[in-house]
Amino acid sequence: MDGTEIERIYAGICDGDKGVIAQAITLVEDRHDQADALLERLYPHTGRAHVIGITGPPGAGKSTLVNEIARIWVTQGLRVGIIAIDPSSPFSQGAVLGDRVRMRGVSGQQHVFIRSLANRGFLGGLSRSTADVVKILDGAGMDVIVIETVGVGQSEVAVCELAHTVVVVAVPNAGDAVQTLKAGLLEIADVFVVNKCDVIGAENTVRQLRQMLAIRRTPDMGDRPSRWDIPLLKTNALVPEGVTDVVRSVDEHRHYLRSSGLWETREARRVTNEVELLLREDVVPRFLDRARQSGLWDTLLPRVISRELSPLNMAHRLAEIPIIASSNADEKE
Amino acid sequence: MASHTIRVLLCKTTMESHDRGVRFLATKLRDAGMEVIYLNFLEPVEVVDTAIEEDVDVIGLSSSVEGHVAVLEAVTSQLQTRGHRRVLVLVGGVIPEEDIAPLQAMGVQGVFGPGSYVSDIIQFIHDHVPARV
Repeated sequence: MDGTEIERIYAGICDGDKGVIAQAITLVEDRHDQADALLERLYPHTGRAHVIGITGPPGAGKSTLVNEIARIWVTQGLRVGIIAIDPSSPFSQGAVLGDRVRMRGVSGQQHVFIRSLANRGFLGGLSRSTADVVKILDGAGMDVIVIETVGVGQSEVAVCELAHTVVVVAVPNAGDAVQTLKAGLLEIADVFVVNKCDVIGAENTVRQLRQMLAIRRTPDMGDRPSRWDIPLLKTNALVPEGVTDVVRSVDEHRHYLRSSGLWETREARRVTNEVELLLREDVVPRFLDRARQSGLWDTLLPRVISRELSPLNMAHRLAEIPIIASSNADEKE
Repeated sequence: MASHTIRVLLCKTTMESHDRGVRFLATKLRDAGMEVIYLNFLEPVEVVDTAIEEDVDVIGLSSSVEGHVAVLEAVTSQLQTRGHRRVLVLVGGVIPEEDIAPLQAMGVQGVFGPGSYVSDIIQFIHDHVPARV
């Protein structure tokens, strides 16, 4: 694979060619050595799409809800990208990706692209490549991109670092009101949905969440209440029932972000998070390799063992090695 | 470059309830380190649409009733006409002896009837999965 091949893939993505989009996603998923070049080419053409996270516990009905939401978007003439993530096995690294089975209503439609991803050991409800897959779908001209997280517990909240709008799907009877006081998942919702609202106990759950939201809305001294009033919606996605309200709320949230200037704030947060992740997972490991291969490492090590220097002292001295190799550094300048 | 994880699309060829076999296989392929896109039942055009979007290496179709020859014919011909890169197509389930030769002739590389071992299917996939560039 070379530069002309990257150009071909880039052009195919811009044309919305599904086969090429799919191939590009595999490249970033596999961390192919040409993936970075492709993403560099693509990045200036991204930033248009409204990215929506759908998260909640396993079996809450996220995929079914996504199917119904997407069905409405299609009738509105929107182009829809869906990224559906399921967990990889901690033992075999294999996975069964079963979200798409609920999305037959929109699968195969001209303006819908669905991709199932395994999280490949990445924590927080997403996969390592999710941010890059979003870029590919964005570059392919999707108006809305849904990220359906793995089924999550209380603390997997990475999706709020990637999405403009987060929909938390709760199920009835998942505990009492104390659960609603806890930090984590329930804090990241821009829109709340209680799905399976036909089951006994659903009203109780809705009431608990309503109280939680009321408590949050009550201003304390010095608080500046948000202008966004988090909607609490009831759905029965199988019927489907209540889904148009979800679509409306998601769109209203986009308008809210745009009109309040918070869109730019969220964009800054998204980029900051992504750069931090790249620094941690890409730059630091490469720096560590360079540090270890440097003569300095071998010179300092015995002095630390003999207690002449402390480990912290050695680390600080190693930190003075340029992060990027000097020939590379010249190129960058 | 990191290595590629084999992706497999698994589904039944007709809308019926005999899904124990395909669920069994899905679990075993998962345990063999593959990523299985699991679907209940798809029309041939849906199989091909899904295989393209998911960029799978393998399509595995399960049939416990009649009709698999026609379905596989549609799937293999559409894979060819839509110019998709080479995908390994397998069929399993209740496949009569006399169907094997016609299936192979249309490009179904692996036919796994009753009594097949999952370990053989896994080995077959590893031996025949098309290489990635």
